[in-house]
Amino acid sequence: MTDNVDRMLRPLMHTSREFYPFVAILGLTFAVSVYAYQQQLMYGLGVTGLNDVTIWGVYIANFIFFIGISHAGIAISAAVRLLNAHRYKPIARIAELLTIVSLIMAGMSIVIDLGRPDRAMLLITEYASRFMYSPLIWDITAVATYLVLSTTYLYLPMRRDIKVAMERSTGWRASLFKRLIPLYEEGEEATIDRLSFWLAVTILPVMVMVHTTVAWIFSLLSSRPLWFNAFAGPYYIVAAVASGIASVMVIAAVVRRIYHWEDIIKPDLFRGLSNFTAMTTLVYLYMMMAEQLAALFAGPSGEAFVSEEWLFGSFAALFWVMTTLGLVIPFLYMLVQAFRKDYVNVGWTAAMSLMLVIAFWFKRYMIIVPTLSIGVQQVGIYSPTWIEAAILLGSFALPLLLYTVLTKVVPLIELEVKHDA
Amino acid sequence: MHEALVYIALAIQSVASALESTVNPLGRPLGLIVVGIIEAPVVVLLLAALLGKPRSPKITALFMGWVLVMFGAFVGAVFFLSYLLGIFY
Amino acid sequence: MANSSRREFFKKVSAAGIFLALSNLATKMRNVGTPIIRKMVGTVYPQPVKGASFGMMIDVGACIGCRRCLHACKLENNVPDAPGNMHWIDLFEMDNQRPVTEVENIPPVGAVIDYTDSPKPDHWYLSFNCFHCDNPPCTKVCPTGATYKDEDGLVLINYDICIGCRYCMAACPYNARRFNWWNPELPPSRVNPIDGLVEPLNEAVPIRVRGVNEKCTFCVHRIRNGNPVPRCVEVCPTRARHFGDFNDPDSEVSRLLKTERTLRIRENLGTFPKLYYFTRGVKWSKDGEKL
Repeated sequence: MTDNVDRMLRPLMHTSREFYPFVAILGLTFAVSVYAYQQQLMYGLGVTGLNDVTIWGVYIANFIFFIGISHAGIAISAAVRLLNAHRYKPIARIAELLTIVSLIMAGMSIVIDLGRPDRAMLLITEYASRFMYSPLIWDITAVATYLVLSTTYLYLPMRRDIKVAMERSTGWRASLFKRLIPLYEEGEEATIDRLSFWLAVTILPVMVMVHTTVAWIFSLLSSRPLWFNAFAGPYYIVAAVASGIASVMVIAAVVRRIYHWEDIIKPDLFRGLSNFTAMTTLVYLYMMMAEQLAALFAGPSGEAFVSEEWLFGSFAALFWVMTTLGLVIPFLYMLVQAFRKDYVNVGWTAAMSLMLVIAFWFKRYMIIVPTLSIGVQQVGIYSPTWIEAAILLGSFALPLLLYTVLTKVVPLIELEVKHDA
Repeated sequence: MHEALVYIALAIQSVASALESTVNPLGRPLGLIVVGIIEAPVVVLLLAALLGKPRSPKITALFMGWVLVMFGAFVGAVFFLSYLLGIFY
Repeated sequence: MANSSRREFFKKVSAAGIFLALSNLATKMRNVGTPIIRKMVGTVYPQPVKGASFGMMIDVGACIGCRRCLHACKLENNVPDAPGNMHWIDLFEMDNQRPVTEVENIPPVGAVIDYTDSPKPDHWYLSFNCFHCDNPPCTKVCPTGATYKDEDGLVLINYDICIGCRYCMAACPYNARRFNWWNPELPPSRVNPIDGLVEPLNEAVPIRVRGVNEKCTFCVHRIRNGNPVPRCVEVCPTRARHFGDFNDPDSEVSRLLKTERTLRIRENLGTFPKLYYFTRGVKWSKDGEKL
């Protein structure tokens, strides 16, 4: 057991040689995107491909995507804590860290989309007069609440593991870890366990409201075809859970390989997650089908028009490639894997999950752009520029960078509580 | 740092104008319902943290302190972002 | 010692007093929005006309699509030509086969935007600007309250609070709002392409910077300062546009509402727009003579 604890704490104790060039590359990519954003700040949002008709594009798609990914953390943690699904304990904290990092990225994505980001503070100061009316303000409320609670949920149980790490390290590491756990008292685990239980219970409805309010940003606008519908909340949440858990699978597979945790993060954990993702993806495919059928059969002219552009028009290539390659094929792979008892190929599952994640990013893009583009005669008038591409790349480099750096202070695997005899 | 004072004044007058305002274009307090639904679990959590057993004053203080610090960090981050980006305008 | 603590106390009291005074000032104003900013810090518009409900009527049958309104509006309101050419008024050329009521999307499917040589036979012309709805979707969704419906029915924008999120543009069913994607280049005077006259920058209208939203204001700087009509209504050669106060039973628009068969665009959305269209088709010249 001592061996295992050392292995689980290894990222905190030891930095391999490969860490530095990896972080450097990510940092460089981020630096390029910072330069692109600076161009946008200086000249205005006109440097993107956006216009008065297609007012939102890549940045808002990014925003919804990251909010979606952030659902994985509490979903898995809550399953472990509330449903006693202890099989997934080793990846619970990996998922929670992903939640926090992607929530930060979601917030940044919104700010990047603002025309006057230097006035972002007004969102806070005008809160009292606007919270009654604006869905954006409801969204900010939910995301801020979710972020605060998630960081608490990450930090409190982590203290026990940091204590163990502190006991096993020396020098500057030991003092760093000591500073990370102020007010530590022996036997705090019982209280913290109780708090964590209540945190898990309360974060779940907040998580549901986060994505519901994000969905409401679009679905409360009665004039927009394919946006205005009552079921937008669950529609987006299903996508979030599917893409979130798929992301966790990718990260867990990578982390497992890098730190040689193959026996700690066991294959049957991936099997369970992959089965669940397959089910969720199936539900999402069903919802997509229902939406398009309704629009094509009897939709008002706007809905039918947009749906036709999705399936047969300017967006058809993107839509069908995304659906078949990115949604159906991974679903079929995971379905076949589910039927083969006790078999799971972690590598392939991770690869299929990555395809799912990429497909869901494009699906978020599909939600935004076609409905807006209907405003002009030529649909598809929006084409992203290099600035949006650079910022997009940076928006994936930064969370990777944050995540990698945080693995040095956040123990990725929860240590078992030692019950002293 | 006079921006901080301006923002504080804006926040106060925002509260005042919201309390005073008789116009509601939605006709119903929908925002109250939504924010109420979002924050109701937080109220439950606070009650559980403050009233449940086992509890210890240190951990309760740590918990509340951490929550407040995180919230302050959120608001502070937005403030500094606005402040820094102001150089472009 | 006593002196400095007394000074501290005095500072605290006066700070509290200033905050109290500010809140008191704010509570005196009845509006959904941010009144203090408007009065002290932000975009200053003239005082609203009490009890008015301004609106517009356009005679679609009389419009010849000459675009004088479009260019006059640009010059009156300092709407930029470059780097992005913006115009608050839209003109669409519609085929007679398309009935007036069948305008679902904006611009309507089949409309020609860059037409020349108007009026053409068998075509009619549809002019759009912000409708200043009575139940505006845009003011509901603004996260900072920068866009608001004022007491006299105008939907206005406080350019100093707008954060440029463009949610109002997503909410508007009529694509009536414009965004400053670039920093506008506004020379001190511009030439009107229709009549060749040179007009200077209008000092009564605030200059907007990049990153904020703007739209038709019904020429708020004119109609609240005694001028009876916006610029577009003034320059229309066939007097197709009519403007007035719907709360005044003697105003032109109130009389037209009673006598003409009017319709509004996308009424099923419940926005209650204040721009009515009718099809009387009588072209009047400026001194009352039929053309």
